[in-house]
Amino acid sequence: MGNAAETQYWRSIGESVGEMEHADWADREFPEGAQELSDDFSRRDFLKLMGASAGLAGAGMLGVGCRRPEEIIVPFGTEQKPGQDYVHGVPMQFATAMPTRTGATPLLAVSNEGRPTKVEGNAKVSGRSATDIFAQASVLNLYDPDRARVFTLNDSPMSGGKVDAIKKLKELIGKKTAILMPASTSPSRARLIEAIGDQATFYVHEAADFGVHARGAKAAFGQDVTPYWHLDKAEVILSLDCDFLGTEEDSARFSGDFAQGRKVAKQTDGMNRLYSVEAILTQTGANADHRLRTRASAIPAAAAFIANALGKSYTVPKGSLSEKQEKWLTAAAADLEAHKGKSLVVAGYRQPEAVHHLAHLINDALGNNGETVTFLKTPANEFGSLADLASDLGKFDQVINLGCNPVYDGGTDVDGKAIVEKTTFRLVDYTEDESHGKTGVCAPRAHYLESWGDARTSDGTIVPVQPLIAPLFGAMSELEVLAVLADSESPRTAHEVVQATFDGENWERYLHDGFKQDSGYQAVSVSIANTEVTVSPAQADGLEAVFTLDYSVGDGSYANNGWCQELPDPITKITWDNVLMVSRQTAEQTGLENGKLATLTVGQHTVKGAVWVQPGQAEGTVGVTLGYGRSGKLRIANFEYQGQAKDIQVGGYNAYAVRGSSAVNVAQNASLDNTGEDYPLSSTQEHWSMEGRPIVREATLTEFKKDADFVNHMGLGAHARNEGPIYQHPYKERPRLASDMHQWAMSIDLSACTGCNACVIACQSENNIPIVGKDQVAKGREMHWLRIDRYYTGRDHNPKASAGLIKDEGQNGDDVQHTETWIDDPQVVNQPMACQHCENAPCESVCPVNATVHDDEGLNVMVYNRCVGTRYCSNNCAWKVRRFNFFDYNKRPINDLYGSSSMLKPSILTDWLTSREKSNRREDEWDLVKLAKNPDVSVRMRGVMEKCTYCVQRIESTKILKKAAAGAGDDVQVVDKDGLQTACQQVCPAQAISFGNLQEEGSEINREKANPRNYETLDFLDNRTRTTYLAKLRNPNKAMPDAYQKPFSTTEYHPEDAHGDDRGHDDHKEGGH
Amino acid sequence: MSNIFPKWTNRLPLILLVGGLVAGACVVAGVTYYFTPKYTRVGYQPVQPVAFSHDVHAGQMGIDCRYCHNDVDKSWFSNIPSAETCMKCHSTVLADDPRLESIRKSFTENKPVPWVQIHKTPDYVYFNHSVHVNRGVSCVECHGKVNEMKVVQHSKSMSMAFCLDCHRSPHESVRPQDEVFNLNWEPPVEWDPEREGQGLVDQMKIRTSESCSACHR
Repeated sequence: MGNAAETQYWRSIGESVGEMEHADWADREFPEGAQELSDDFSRRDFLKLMGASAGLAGAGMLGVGCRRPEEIIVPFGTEQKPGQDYVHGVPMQFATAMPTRTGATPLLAVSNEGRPTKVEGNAKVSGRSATDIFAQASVLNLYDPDRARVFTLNDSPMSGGKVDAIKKLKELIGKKTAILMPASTSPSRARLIEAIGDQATFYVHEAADFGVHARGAKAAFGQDVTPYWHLDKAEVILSLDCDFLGTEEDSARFSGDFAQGRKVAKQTDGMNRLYSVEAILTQTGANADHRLRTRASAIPAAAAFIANALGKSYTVPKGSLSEKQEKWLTAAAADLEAHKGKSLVVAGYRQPEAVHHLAHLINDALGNNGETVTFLKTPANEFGSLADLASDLGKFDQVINLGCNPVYDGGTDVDGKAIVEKTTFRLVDYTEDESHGKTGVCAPRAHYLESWGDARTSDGTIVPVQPLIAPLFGAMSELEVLAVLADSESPRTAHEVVQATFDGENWERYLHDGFKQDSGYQAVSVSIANTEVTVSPAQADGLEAVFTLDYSVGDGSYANNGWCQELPDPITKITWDNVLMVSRQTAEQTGLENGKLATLTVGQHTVKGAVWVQPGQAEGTVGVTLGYGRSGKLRIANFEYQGQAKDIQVGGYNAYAVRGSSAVNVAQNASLDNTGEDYPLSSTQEHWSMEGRPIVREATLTEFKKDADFVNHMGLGAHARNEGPIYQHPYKERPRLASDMHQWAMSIDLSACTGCNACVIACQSENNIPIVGKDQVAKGREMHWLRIDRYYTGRDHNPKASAGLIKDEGQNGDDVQHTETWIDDPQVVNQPMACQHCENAPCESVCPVNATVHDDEGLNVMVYNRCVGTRYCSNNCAWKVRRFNFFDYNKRPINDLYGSSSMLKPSILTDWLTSREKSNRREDEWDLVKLAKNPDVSVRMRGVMEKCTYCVQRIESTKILKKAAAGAGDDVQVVDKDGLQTACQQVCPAQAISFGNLQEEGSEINREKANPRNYETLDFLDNRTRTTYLAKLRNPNKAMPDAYQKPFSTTEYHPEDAHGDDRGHDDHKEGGH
Repeated sequence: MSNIFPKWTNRLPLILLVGGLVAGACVVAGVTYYFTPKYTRVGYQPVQPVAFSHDVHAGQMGIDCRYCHNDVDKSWFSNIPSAETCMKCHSTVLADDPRLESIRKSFTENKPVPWVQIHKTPDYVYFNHSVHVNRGVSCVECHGKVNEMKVVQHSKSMSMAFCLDCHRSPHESVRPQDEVFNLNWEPPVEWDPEREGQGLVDQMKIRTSESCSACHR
């Protein structure tokens, strides 16, 4: 043992082995700690002693010298080692892509020990590492415990699984077949369809139809082209009900391009301007500089009006637009005209072909075609729709369904059940979903991370879809099914099909880079071929239903994804449900309030849903969100929490139940009737107003040009700072602690942030953040480390004068806010909010066990093992960004958090003693829960606090890579080019988040912090936050009827000089913070 | 009133107090000694399924640690070699030795040998081999002289204090980078940790972190 000098005498065994403690004893006479007892008895030492005494209590029970259980360590067998590149413990990345309806998201998927755990955008293909929320959340779909697991025939499992299914499929060949499939851009699929030829007729179904973009272009130009917008080149953008920052396809690219024009660094910088005309408040409208709310059916008239203002002459139906709206549109048109060739008019998928046609005509008149919008030659759609299949159904003997769910999302006038009855083979995500049939083969559909495929991105670049894992439940992909149909004698595997489709030079390079060079669609020049447009009139009165894809669950395909369900809607902040959105006035007229159940009637169809008074909603419209109200065995989509009332519907309402094929996007003559019942909604942000506090600081571009330092003239910052900080600065106390090599910091550009939520899901995926369930969210127990605060501000809204929370403390502001008039035309601000990593951190000072401490690189770290769950830190945090594990959300099923009878079994104690890892979840579910975890982040247990760590695992692994590469050298400082990014930063489509090392001169973070818009939230506390924000800028047009000189939030802050220009002299009056 | 309690009971509170204190002190001493990794782990020497001797291979024959543990400088995890690695030599050397039967079996049947794990950090500790062995910290600092062990045993406590000792004064443990895998390296006589060790620390810009975030995430 050890290397003790054996010739010496020793007084104890400890001395003989040269223990450090013993040396201490000899040197110091008193052991370490004795000193501290006398002069500064720290909390931690006290706790240590207390802990030791508590430990004594149980000491007698245990035998002395117990060792940990024997564990086996297993090397790879000879053949198990998957290639020479694999190094156990080093995550690998593979280029792949997630197919979407109209394109694909190129990805780099991270594989840990063979498990895909996280996806990032493939910057090699798209230039950015961004993705939308669905790509991030798709990883969880792979590990969904409800996923279809077995191949069934006539509802009973097939013993041979996939082999039997293929055999059965071969028997089906020869009959008159219709194949129903989801939309896809896969060249391999197109090739197989061609090979199948007349043997089958193909129908494509998607709940949301984005084909209108191509149809609109065809109407205008007479060519099969798809518009490809270049928002980064546009200085003035007009959106005609086009939610390009949200529900439009490819929104991540649009957000990035749009944000390019919003990041103002100097007073001389320019900025783009966004006009939005829409009925429901969308992400795009929320980010607009000027927003016109109008009925969705009035937008064709609005488009025609704009066209007329630019010299065309279309008939604008009488009564469709009010005088005020016409003024707005005239001024907007003038602005567009002033930016010829640098403006862009975009029309949304919800709008009819006529609006798209008009948008092309307007762009043509403005000289934008070929400048801010180019046209890509895309293949024409040659397939029928679901409605076509429904009417052709009699012609066929059978239907092969490759992943559609017609009973759920087919709409009111498609007889989905008839299609199901004729279905002989079906690929399913969930075995017993709405379209579950009692006959035929039912095969689990492979996830894109477990099957071969290919796709084309929105610009046509061909990207491979590579599997990272063998199908978890032996699933099949649509390519495999089609390959059997194309060549039943010797069907090729999906891998062979994809490889055969690839006609490039280097297959390995294709897979490595994740795209095929120069494979994009050809850009063609277009000219107007048809100027005839019929403009439909707006619905004059009554209610119109506007259908919209949900921001969180899309068309319903993500409805069983817990991350998506618990993701607060970016606008309403509601989780787990969809709502019927109505304006304040409509609510008043129908006698509805937030959370009241109402019956929505469209034609003969009705559905019951909860009402939500939505600021910014157009009068006479009801926003109807698709994607919820699923039935079938989907436990997350139909989540029932413990103690939930029995007769209440779960998982929102099914909007497809009132959506007919004649009015898929906007339905006229709807009605809304109050049932008088209440419905519990879980919203993460109940209060809408900032109450005149400069949490989000904003200014107009004009103001910024006048006074670059405007952010420092808001709030109490300058005054309070002189009094010095309340909390101690860790580095002032212990200067030796501070690292001279790395000091981390973050900056978030509120001008660029669109509030898209991608960062929230990326954080959840990266940091093993659990979901908690609807009831827990209602209690404010959601676990998201990063949230996005959304505030509304109103013109001339004086929070002190209204019945806000601040003025009359006895009155609940939340209860009346939806009746106040200022919410009708609000401005919206979004603010991503996570741990600010204060230097003088309030949380650190109050922790009794030093579980939250400062590290040497400026991080406020959370030590889970020390945490005893007092929650003092959370109470003392001014930003409320700490999250407490009220339950063991990982081990317990979220519908059984409080424990049920199974928790009372005596075996629980023995289980705990023998196998503490054991969970209360079902065995198979527990495996899937574990598979999805990031191994570099601790999974937290019940009773501990957690929060944003600045992705410390990424920081450390970057540092380690750098150090290991440096070897004996000294190049160990992590700098920008080492590619360290936090998860939120990496995913941000708008590139609004910067993160880096303050100690690196000229680093991106230092440049961002030098931006004059840089400010600290709650700076009057003088906590020296490491996360700072760049103030939001708005770019209003003075000539608009709704022009404003200052953002509404600052006029709320200085209500007395709402329209004046002097500012900053009356900070002293503000005392209500 | 008669004496219910005998006289010695007057001293009972004192006896209880002193006795309690002594018993308490014994338990505290017992816990601090027996419940720490120094007692529970050091010396742990399980019987392995194959009687592999590091003494013979790494010591007498001088095979580099990285011949078998070839990922140690690339990953947090120092890999255990597969039977394939053994068979590189043992397909010719001692090819029929009965002691190697299980290795041959493992190789032909592709079933890994179930080695018993000796060194293990808890799951909440993110120890990384590559950053240590690439930066002047030898295997011997944590694992002891494995090259002299016939049967590997746990030789250092690997408690948090053990890690922190080195992180607090790295100059005492660093060595020239090319001597990291030389477990027999002894500092030259003129080596003074304060001078030479500190010199290496400065030269390589070694910043050992004592913060929680260094090892816990």
